[in-house]
Amino acid sequence: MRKALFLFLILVYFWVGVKFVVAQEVEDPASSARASFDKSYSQYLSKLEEYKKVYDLYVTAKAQHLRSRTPKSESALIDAGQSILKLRDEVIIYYLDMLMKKYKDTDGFNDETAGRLQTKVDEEVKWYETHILSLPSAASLEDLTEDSKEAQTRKRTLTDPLIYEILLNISYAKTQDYADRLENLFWGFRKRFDVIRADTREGFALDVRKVQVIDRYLAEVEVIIKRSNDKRASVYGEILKGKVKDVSAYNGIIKSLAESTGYQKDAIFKFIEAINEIKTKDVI
Amino acid sequence: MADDNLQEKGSKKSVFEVLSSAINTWFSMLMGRPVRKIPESVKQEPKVEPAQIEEDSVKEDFKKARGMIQKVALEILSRTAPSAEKRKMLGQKGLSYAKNVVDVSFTRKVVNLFMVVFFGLIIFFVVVRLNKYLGNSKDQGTFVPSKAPTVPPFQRTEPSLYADDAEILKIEEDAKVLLNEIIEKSLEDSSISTPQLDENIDFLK
Repeated sequence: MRKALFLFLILVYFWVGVKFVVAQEVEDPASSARASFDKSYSQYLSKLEEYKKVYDLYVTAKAQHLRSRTPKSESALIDAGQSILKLRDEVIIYYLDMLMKKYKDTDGFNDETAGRLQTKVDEEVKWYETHILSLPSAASLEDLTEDSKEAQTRKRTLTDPLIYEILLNISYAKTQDYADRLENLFWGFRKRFDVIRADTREGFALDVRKVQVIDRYLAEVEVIIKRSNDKRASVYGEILKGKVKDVSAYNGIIKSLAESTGYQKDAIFKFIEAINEIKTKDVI
Repeated sequence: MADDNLQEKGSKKSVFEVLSSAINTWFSMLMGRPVRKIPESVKQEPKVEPAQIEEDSVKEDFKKARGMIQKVALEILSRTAPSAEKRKMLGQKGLSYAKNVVDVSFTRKVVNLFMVVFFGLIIFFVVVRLNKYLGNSKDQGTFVPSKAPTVPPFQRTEPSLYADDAEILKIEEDAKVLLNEIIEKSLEDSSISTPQLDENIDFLK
């Protein structure tokens, strides 16, 4: 009876232990997001490769049809056209999915923003999926051209701005991560410095000049951090508008974000100066 | 003229004889031979007075030329005198007419005024330039150079009590990692840039 109870306890122990380890692996959000992104990225790349191959077939079929203009060549072009339009839609769907995974994998991403973007992405994906389903019904080259133009208009008016919005949010999340880390370091140092400053024991107390110098550095760092955050806030306002439709507008916002990281760099240089001050003492 | 030629020939001959005898004498002396005496006829140069011979002909030529020039001048004067008189008269008439047309006193006044204004402007310009130059030089004289940035006196330091503080060291390390990350990493990720798709697929064209 005792032996049976002992064996039962051991089994329970192992069962709980294994479950705990598995739960830990599953619940690690960073690694989970990374794995999810990696998978999505490879799927997107393979879909893009497939598109390139089918695009070559479409170009060949079109050239043959324009040369011969026979019912057979037209039928071949319709088949190739349906394939290329389907794959073009699929590449966009996979790309949007990959972007969302990338955003969630970026340090500094925001859950609320992720939810808002995901809703928009789902809407776009739904439209492209419906569009793909409508493609086999196209019986002529005119119908296919109409389908192609429909997708083209959709991409230019709604999908492209969404793509740029996600890309900009990924870049913004990076600056958010830098800002969070810098603030943590700054306040951590400030807290430690306050403790050191309050220590008036002989041999432990910092001299007045040193305290003044460090205070000045920290004040400067605070000002620069605020400047960087103000800049980022104004840029985020632009991103939220969702009006970026082309590369030049996208590059303009990236440039403004880079200015904010420039301020962050300056702040860290000053911050390191303050740290060096506390690590040294003057020799009289 | 024949005498002249003879004299010239004689002088050339005598020069040649003198030179050749001199060279012979020098050569004989060099060789140790007895020196040959120069003949007296060679030594005595003939006295010639060419001025007396030429004087008459040159004077005559000059006289002839002067006479001809005088004649030509008289002829020219006698022919041009009336027209010159006419021109002089015309000039005087024109001058008197111009004096009547133009008010000379007024023109003189204008010219005088112009000259006064012109010189006044020159003086003004010179004064302005001088003033500027003197002003600048005055400024330069009172120019006080700005204080050169002084290098702060070197302050010797040594590690403080907090140089090995674990918390401080951790913060420093994290700050340096963050700095490197900001410097090295781009805000854009080229691997996720928009795919190049043919958006203008048209099956009819």
